[in-house]
Amino acid sequence: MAMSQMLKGLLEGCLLAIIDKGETYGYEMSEKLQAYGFTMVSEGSIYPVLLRMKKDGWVETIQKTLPSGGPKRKYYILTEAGQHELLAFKQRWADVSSGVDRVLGEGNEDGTFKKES
Amino acid sequence: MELSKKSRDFLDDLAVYLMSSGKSEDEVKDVVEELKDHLEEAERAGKGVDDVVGQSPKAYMQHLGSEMAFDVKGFVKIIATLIPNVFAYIIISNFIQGEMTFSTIHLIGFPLVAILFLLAVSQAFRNMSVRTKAGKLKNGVTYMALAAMPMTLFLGLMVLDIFVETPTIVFGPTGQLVLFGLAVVTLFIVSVWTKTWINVIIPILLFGPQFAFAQTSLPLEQQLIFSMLILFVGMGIFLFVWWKKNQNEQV
Repeated sequence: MAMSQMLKGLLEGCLLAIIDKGETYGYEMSEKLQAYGFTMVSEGSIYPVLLRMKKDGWVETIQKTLPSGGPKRKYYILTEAGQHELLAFKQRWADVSSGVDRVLGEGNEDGTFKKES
Repeated sequence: MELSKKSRDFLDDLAVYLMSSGKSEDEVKDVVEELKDHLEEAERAGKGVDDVVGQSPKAYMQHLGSEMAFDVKGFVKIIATLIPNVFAYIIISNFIQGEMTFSTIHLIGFPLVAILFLLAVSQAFRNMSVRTKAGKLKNGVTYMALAAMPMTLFLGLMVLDIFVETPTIVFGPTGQLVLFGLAVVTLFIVSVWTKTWINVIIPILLFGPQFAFAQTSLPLEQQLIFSMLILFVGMGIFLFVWWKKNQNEQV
């Protein structure tokens, strides 16, 4: 599936937020995304984004052996640059979403939805 | 739990695609391992490759590849091993025939053919890795074209060399011996560097019998037949042992 630039940006921001909650690995992240209802993209599409985020220095990876033995698993942690980026993303998202809501004429200033009367 | 065949095929194709796109071996291994881990968990939860990579594996592979840098260092390393290696084969072959003459066309042409072949192999594997299973016939044709390519190009060089006169170096017995020594050392160094014995075993199978039979009084035809036989049987045994070893490592 061709992912739009916008969706990619949103996925990036959501991944930053998930990794910020504590070190995690690929499958766990995709499960969390699904659980939150972020189902517009296939599970695997997080990996190209994670590669990009690592290249940009927003995340670091560590290899950990599973308690059950077997091969090592790659865990992601947020770097300081990643934390800055997450803050910037939250700000951008607040601006964009409240703006869009207002354009659509259904939102209040604080981002909550007006009750239809 | 064992991964499904479809998942394993996808991971194999992905590795081939990324390697032939010139990505670093370590990075490729890393990302393939990560996806394998993901697919294992996904299959345990009753999902399949399609849920993970989406509708088009090809688009997914290209997307992943676009986020990985071209491994310049790795590419230089391949070229730096390939060219001396090609010359080593040619020198040893010439040494056995007792004649060593290099024209400018040879000196430029041999590395050029080697690089062209390398690029063609990369491109072919990249194409095949994203091709659907329906493309089997196409793959067969690709393999044959690849197999025929270096021989055709070398032949072309030889013909060109006959018609076009260029400055030529001729080596006497001492020069030949020195170059032969250098060629053998090169094969060993490349073997150690690339951590595979294939670069020593093939020349031994290829040139060993030729050299040994040349010392006997057997008619040339029989020499050739026996040499070929030893080469093919030897390669067969080597590939079988290598395949067995790989299989054991995977389990």
